[in-house]
Amino acid sequence: MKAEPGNRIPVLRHRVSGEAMQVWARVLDDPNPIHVDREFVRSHGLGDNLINQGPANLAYLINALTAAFPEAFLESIDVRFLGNVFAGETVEAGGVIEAIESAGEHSRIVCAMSLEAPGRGPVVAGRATVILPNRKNQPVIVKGHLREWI
Amino acid sequence: MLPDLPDIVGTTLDGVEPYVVNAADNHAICTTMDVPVDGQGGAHPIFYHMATQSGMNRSIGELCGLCGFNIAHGPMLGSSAVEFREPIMVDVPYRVRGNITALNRKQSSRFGWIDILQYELKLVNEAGVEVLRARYSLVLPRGRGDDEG
Repeated sequence: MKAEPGNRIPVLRHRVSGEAMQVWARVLDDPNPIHVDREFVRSHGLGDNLINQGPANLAYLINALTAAFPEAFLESIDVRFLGNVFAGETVEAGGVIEAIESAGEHSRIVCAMSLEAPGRGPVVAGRATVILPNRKNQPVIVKGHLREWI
Repeated sequence: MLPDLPDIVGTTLDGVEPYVVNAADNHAICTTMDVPVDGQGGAHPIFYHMATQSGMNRSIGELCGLCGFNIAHGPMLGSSAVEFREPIMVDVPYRVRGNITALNRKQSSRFGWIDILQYELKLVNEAGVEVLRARYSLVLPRGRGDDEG
């Protein structure tokens, strides 16, 4: 996509599943039953379905940035976790370009990002910066790891 | 009555064992989100969370214990901020260096009183180069002050 202030980051939708939560629970080494035990969630008044791991919700925002800027290096992402996401929901990750800053041979794209849950608004929100090369076919060199232009 | 806030600012969270993103876990996480695995050996950037949280010297339960908070009462991740200097690579060992930076108490319309634990974790490669820095806040709901925290 063309990087200009005001341009929206295309929305990336993701359907959250309980099966995926089991994978995240293992890799995160997170035994919290709210992610794997539906009865626990209900009996503790937390909702009606399994609750997604916060880092997974954040990962969906990262994926939206990667999809929008496949040649970029993710420099930073700073978010607040505002609410829960439940199994079976389809969330939407997106944002808007706030500013473009010069960074030597590259440009720094500053984006406001949010993950929206159906009918409940943002559940994760914050700001991210990505580094883009200024010229096509110019690789982004990040501290010795040459990342090729895709 | 709420317990006093313990004096834990500055407590080191330096990890003992290195953390390595293995290719199978990276593949599994990417598959859950239907995104491709990086062909240049990079791990999905979200592994900054797994690497720093698993690589520090305490579990979340132990962190809560330092604050006098029972993990069974439901700590919540309040915020997370990460700055990458290099991509995280699969099959490369990293060590965590970090410390607790703040522990504060405030009133919450939703939870009554909450303690907010803040800590910073850095991921360092075997050459001693810092590849990322992450700052976290953990919300510990204390209730109205008349129940156990």
